[in-house]
Amino acid sequence: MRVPFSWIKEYVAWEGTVEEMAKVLTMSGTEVEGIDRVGAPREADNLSRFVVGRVLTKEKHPNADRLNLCTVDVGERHGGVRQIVCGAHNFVAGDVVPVSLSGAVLESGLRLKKANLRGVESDGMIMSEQELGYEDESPGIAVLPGEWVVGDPLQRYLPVAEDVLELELTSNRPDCFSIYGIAREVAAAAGLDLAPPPITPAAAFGGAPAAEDIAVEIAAPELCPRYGATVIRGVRIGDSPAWLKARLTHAGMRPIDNVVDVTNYVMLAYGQPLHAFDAGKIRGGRLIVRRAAAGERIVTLDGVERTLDDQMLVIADVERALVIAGVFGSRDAEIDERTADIVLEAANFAGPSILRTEMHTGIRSEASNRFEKGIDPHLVPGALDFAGRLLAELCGGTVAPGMVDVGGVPPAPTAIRYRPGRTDALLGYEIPASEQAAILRRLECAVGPAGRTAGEAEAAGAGGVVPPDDGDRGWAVVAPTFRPDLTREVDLAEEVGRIAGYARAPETLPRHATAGGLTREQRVRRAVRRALVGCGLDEAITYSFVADDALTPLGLPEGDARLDPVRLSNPMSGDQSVLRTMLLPGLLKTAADNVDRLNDPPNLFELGRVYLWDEPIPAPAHAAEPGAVLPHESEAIGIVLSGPLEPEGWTGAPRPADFFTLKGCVDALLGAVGLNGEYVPLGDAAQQAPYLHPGKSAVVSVKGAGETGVLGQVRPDVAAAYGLEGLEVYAAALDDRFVAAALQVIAFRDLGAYPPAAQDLAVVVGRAVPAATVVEVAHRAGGKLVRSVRVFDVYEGDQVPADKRSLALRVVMRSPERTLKEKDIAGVRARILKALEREFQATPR
Amino acid sequence: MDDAHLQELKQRAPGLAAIYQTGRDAILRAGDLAALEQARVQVLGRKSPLTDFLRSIPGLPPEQRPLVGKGGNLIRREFEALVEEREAELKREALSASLAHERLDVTLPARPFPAGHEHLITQTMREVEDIFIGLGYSIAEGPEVELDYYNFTALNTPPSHPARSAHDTFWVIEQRETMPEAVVDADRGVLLRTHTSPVQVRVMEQQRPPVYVLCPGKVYRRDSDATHTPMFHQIEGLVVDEGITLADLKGTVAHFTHEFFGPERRIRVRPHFFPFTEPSIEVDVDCGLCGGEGCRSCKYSGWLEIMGAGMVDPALYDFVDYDPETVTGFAFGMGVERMAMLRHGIPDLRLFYDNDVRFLRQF
Repeated sequence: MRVPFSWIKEYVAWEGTVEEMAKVLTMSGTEVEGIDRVGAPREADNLSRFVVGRVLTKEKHPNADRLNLCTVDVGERHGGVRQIVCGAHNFVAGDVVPVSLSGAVLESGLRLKKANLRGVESDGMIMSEQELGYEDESPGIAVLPGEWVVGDPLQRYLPVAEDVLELELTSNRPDCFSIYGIAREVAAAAGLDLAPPPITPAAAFGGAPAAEDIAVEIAAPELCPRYGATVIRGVRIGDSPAWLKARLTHAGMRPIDNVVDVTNYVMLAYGQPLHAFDAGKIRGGRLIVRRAAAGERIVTLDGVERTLDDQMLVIADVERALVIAGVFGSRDAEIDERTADIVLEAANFAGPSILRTEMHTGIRSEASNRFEKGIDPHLVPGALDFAGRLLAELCGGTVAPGMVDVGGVPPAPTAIRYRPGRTDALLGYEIPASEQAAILRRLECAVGPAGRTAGEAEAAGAGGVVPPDDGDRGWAVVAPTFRPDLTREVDLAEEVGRIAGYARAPETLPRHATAGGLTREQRVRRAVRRALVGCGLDEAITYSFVADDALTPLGLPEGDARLDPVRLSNPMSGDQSVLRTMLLPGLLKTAADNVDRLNDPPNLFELGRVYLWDEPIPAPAHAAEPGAVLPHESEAIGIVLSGPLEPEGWTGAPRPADFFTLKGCVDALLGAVGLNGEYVPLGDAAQQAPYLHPGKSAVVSVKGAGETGVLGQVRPDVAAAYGLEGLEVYAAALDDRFVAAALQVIAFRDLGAYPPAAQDLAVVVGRAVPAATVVEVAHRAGGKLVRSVRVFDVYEGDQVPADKRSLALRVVMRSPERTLKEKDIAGVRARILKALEREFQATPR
Repeated sequence: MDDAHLQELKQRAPGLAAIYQTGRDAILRAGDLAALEQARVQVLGRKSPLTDFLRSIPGLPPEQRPLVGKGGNLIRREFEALVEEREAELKREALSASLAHERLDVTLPARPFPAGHEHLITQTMREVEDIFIGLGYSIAEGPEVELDYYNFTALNTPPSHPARSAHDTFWVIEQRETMPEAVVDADRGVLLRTHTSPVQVRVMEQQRPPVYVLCPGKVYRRDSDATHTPMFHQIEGLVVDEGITLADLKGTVAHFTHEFFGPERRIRVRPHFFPFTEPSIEVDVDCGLCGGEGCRSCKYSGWLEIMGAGMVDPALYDFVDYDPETVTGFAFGMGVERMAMLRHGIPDLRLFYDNDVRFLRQF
């Protein structure tokens, strides 16, 4: 909300600066986001160059038909009479007008200088409302009230410059959505006097009682607890005076006409939205507050036809809906330039219903924004009095006696038991009981001894007596009706705390000691990240939502659970319409984005959740309707390698990433949590991972948890579909099954006191025989002396038959009991070669 | 051989002294290894004056022989030591001379080790987690696709609550075990959580006080510009125990701020409103750029908002069956990206999700 500084000072006796007021508000809970300094610059007493002047003569410019040549009295102090050329015509000699003197700097930054306009000197400018900053477009200069004193600084009457406090208000404080409400906060927080509410009625009433012209019927009292109306007869629709336009503009509303401007002014000042009907357009002389019929249509003021439902409230006459109650008017009963008699509405509508209507229609107005938060029904009569007076003063109308008030006064709030000691205990420091009572009273709460009714508390509290602190019985405190947020003891404790100021709070730590830490899954995740970073991969975090067709290029089989994602009913865009079921599409796209930015092809990983419906989680009975389920969320790991792991440098070309680089990454991540991966060719799993190269891909499993993922080369056509055309891309997708087996305590293996012996042997085997199987057979055949068997070279080529390859194995053996002898070593070698020959028809090379 | 020794030798065997001085000079004068070898032969060789002299000893009177013989041998050992010393010296000089010709351009780039980088969000979250683990907190997690009940209702935000309009919620098209006939808008029951607070409710449902938990994770709101992304990360904390006070909250937040932003930073606590805390506060840290003087980064206020917090609203305890007369608690929440942006001076939130490696590798 925008609060003009000069306006709020009408209601609170503030003598400090606007910055000081901003601080008081911010530190008492009304956050000031900024101070908007509008109007003419204030430096070097620029404002003194804007003065009240009187037009003495007005003649046609001798050399220009459309210009006037005026003499204007700007007061002795400013050199008396000035000659000013003016382009506007909406004034006559004798009018009081705003004048900016030569040397004045306007809001636009323009500095006025004496000028020669078509051969005539012009010394100063008669200002329009647009130049004063009050309106977007004005037909002419501003004509001011005749009683303003010529030569006075204009700022004394009109804000030539204004400081506007920009407030961020919270939804629990409907009372703060008015200038007067903010003034009340300032008064309470700073301990200043607050002016009485500006609701003085019109000086005189006249004509027949309002009820003769208008009847009100509330057909839906649950949505409208109170409806007040008054009648103002004989208004003249026209322009508002400059001061009113200034107020509205600075508060962020556009001036429309004098009647609408008055309703908006009262709403801004006092917090009660008003609506003005053209009395002549209300058919049957009757306003009916009713639910809309399902499907009922209304054309709102913006010209849009809207379809309503029966949860929405309308104000209707006997024939049709005229207004979506509290939200938006229609064209049917609006005032226009011919309007003479007005029915003025000040009503109270149920907040939740307004909120729902806003959400369903997408309309949010200044009025609905206030109603949705639940405003005080007690504002109704005061707002009608306030607006009636202004309409009489500014629009020439006569206020009818006897306002219509249906629904009446709501029940008084009940007393709240309040224990000052409990507040101290909650805050952790002491605020004296006398200060607590004073704060609550400044906020217009009644404070009395325990056990009193609201009225008694009020009476007992008069005179500022601090009630005895009755320990557990506490005090009886009654909140004012404009504070629906104060219903419990803790609500009052917050009021005391915030007005006393939290700067008083000491900084302590809870005294109890608890044991905290990470869960096993959390530790695994940290270890996995550390390991993959250690491999040289960069971690990406991509959006959880993806396009509906993000998985299409992967070619997953029909019926695959990953093709049934969690769908959003209100996505922001088609690209973000479903939740991901796999990490790879996001990672592939991220890699492609990097390539598009001319970065080196990146190597990335992501550790994050995927969302699947296949094993839904039933919602707890107390938390949802029967049958409700949540999708299954699990942590997945994705890796995408699209380039060498080392950056290109001057020391030589880096080695491109390949399957074995990827396998190294997976080994490292499993190793980091104490697991060994076992890899087998993709085989049957190829159906689940059709996006991988069928011959250069593997399934990885771990002991104790089984299969936990796939890895391999991404099919070139799939890589291309994600924007990685022409790159050899490798990817791994791991689920969280390995976590169950992770973080086993690793048992120490003896280093051995006796020296090891190594034997290298090369065998020629069929190409299809997996190296891991050869190693396994060799290890087993070698017997218990064998410590490790490792492939250290693979050869395919001229030296071996075309369908075979040579594997070079290094066998390391050691005895825990003695130094190995030549014959031990020879024995192991022989056993291995024999077994390999038997199993694979291997021949030594 | 020290000076006294030499003087004695000069007096008693002037010939030997002369041999010593000449030989010593020859060795020390040798300028390279070849010259040294030449000097060695000249001084110690078979035809050297010293060898000649030693050979002449048998011809000397017997009373002179022990003295002269001892002196001669002493000189031989001295010569040998001198040669060895000079040789080492010459070798060192030769090596230095050859190293002086070997040159690297040390300004060439390093051979890079392929170090990867955790995402800045991960690093920031871990750091925050560790600060609170140090205070005895556990790390709790919960679903991101959440029930309305946990995200709103049980957090004192019933369907009619105006605070809901501030949340731009993503709703999920539900799947039901038994799908009701008509899915009308009233049963908007499943959503993407708009904050991590639902985890707090789930924790309290599972656990009796004392509760000390930190709830980090992804959250979602329908918003997208330089300061909003539809997905971001939050960290919330919850403490419920006997005798927990607002001063404890302030102290905890101050401790966190000093650990995370630096011990010299100050905090400021302002009243605010959240449906699930009462009293509610917002926490500012003094602007690190201007030190509180006011600058563009802090919108000339000198303060930067870092956290929303407050004392747990007793209404929440009704939902989880805690007794508000015996326990009190506090909760706080912060945006991870915002923390990282403030600390590292990152201007645009979207950088976190572009995953440009030039960004990722900076941290």
